[in-house]
Amino acid sequence: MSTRAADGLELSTVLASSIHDMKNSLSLVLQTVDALDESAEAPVATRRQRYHSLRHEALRLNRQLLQLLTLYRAQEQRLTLASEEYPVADLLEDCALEYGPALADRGIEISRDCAPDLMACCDPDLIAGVIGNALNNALRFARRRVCLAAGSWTYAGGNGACLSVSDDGPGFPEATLKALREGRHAAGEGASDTGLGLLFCARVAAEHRNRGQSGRIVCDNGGLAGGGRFRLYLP
Amino acid sequence: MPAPLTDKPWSLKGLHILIVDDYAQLRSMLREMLLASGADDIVAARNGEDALAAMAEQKPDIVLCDYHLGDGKDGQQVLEEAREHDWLPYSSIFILISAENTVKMVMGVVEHEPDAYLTKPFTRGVLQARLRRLQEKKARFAGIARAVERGEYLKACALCDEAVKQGDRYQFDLMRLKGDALQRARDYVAAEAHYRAVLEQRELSWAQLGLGQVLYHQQRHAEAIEVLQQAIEGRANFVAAHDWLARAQQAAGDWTASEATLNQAVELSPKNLRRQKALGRAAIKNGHLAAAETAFRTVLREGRHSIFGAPADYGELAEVYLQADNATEAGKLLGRMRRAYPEADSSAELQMAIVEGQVHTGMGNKEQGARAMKQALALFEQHPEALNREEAMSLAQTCVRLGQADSATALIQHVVRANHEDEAMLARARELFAEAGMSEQGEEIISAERKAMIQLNNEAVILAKKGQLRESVSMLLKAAQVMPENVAINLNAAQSMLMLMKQDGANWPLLRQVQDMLRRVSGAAASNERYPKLLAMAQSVERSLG
Repeated sequence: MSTRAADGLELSTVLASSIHDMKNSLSLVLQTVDALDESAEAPVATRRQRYHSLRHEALRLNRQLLQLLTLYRAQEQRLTLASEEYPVADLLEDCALEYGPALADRGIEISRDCAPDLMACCDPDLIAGVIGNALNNALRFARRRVCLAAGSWTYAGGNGACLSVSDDGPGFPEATLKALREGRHAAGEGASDTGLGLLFCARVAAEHRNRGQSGRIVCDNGGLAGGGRFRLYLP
Repeated sequence: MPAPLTDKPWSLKGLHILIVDDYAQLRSMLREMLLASGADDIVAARNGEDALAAMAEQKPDIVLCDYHLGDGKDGQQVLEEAREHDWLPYSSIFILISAENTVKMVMGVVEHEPDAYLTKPFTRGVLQARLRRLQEKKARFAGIARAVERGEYLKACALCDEAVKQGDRYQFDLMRLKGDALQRARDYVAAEAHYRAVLEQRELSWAQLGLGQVLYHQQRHAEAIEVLQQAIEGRANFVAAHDWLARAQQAAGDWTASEATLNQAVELSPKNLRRQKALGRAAIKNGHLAAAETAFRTVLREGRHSIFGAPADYGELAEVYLQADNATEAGKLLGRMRRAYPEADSSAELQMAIVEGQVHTGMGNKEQGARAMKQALALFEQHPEALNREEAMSLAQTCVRLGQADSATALIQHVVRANHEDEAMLARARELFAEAGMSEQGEEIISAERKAMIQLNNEAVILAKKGQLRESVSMLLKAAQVMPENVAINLNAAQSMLMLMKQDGANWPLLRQVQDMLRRVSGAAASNERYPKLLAMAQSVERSLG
């Protein structure tokens, strides 16, 4: 068995950089926990900031673990989807619930636009991981608004769904978009958080198949006011 | 009861909720999450045994159960036993919690599925949203579930079609329910067409499994094997497809392949007793005694604290030892069996006597064997209902080995009478008679029993046609008392009673009796095209009664 993931990335590189990343998260968690103990009388604003920091790092750790495990399984050819017919509106609601507090804390407004009867045949846990990843990116770059949207997508073999996360930030840098177009998901310094995340998203999308059609991700700057837009197509 | 869908703010107030986790901190975390949603009636259990005891005390509205519960039962076993005991009404919600979503695929699409899987970690917001949606979905499907529960499968199918037509968001869920209902109604031709139509739209694993099942039921074993192998391809942990593939392979006579398939399934999910037994039996058939021993030992170990364990399991392991010429180990099992079932009911007593008869006979203790068999037969005469046809046949087999031809004949006769249309069962009866060296005599007995049953049914039908419905009904009811399992008698009785009600007007007691008889044969192995029609007739009578 090759040690290279199908996307041309050394799993050992991914592992090393992920562990590095997770240790950073854990350092922040420990530091914040210590601060909690030292000053119970801290002002409301400080307490809120600590709450959001802890929540953010916990979500991040969970996302990283899901990504690593998924990429590992994919490389071992053991990634199997637990697919079911799932209401997309429910999926988006779950994602908004997870990331809503952090967005609100930064004064970013999150809106949702999805028909209530739109369904997707997918592994809801993995798709929530993909959308969570995109939301986390949007959270870093958005100025005031993030929009979670979904609609139906028709392809030769049937009907699927297209989910998108748009923000009103500066958009993806041209280098990243170029790398993505060329199929290099982990651009820049080997496997950054973003790069690893996009690799995971592409992998999960490709694993969703129906009647000869695979899923895919598309990133561009067609978001709100030219901001970044992430789209996931599920057959 | 789940909260009604009104404008009132959503809350868990008044619902009886059970939390099951072996980790105290996680129990209290879940409790806090639920309290934040207005819950005011929460109990907690730290293992499967406590959880089942709590459910026995009061049926829960909601169960949040972790999959991993330490050494005892796991969450899936808790679910299976609770369903078996009827402690989870349709309106209740059972959520299986695990750290990984792979559990779902390993466990999924089996007979007992939880209402939802939840992957750790999750926030309280997500838990709340999930519970709210599940309540809504349950309410939406309540009518269909009620119809299935009552055995009104045609009505259930019609309700599914109606909801699909109205554009219900859960299109595929409805199609899956319809497939289940068609299978329960034993309309395998319609079910096959249904699953193929679904697969045209989407390659869904439950539809592939369903197609394999209905092909199997139509005795199209080679096709079933092909479909199920496709379902497994690329989804190595799809356990339910393995189970059905193994069955199809056995039916096609390929016991070697079947054992290999079951081995893979057991590796994925080792605690399921039925699967371990199937593996043990396949291994015996293939002469792999060591593998059979391992499987049946697991059955005994896991069965000790499970309602799915039975004294007959000891007999199966003993049989392995006897075949391996290890009489000592086989003999030791008898004592262990008696110790495991100190307070046995008539069915367990009977099973134990049979095992003792079988094992002593196999060990060459003719006298003790004969004594145990005598006891078994005496118990059988008192409680013929305590023995299903499998057990009756295995008891007959032991009688044959002991040279007790009369007892064997009586037992086989009993089975033939109750299953006179079941070719597979009749073939086994012939085999046993042959083993007893009474092929000719056996054939005579079988054909005489069949003739008698056919004649009885014919007479009753003629009476009914002549308009003597009361006489027909009383004749068939008398026969049904002696042969409660016989499909033709039950169906004819139901039909005559329905005709009687058409003639003299409907009444509830008679309708209840019709429904009982239909329910009794709904589990029978034979497919019978009259069954759904009679069900539909009973339903229309029910509607006329209001």
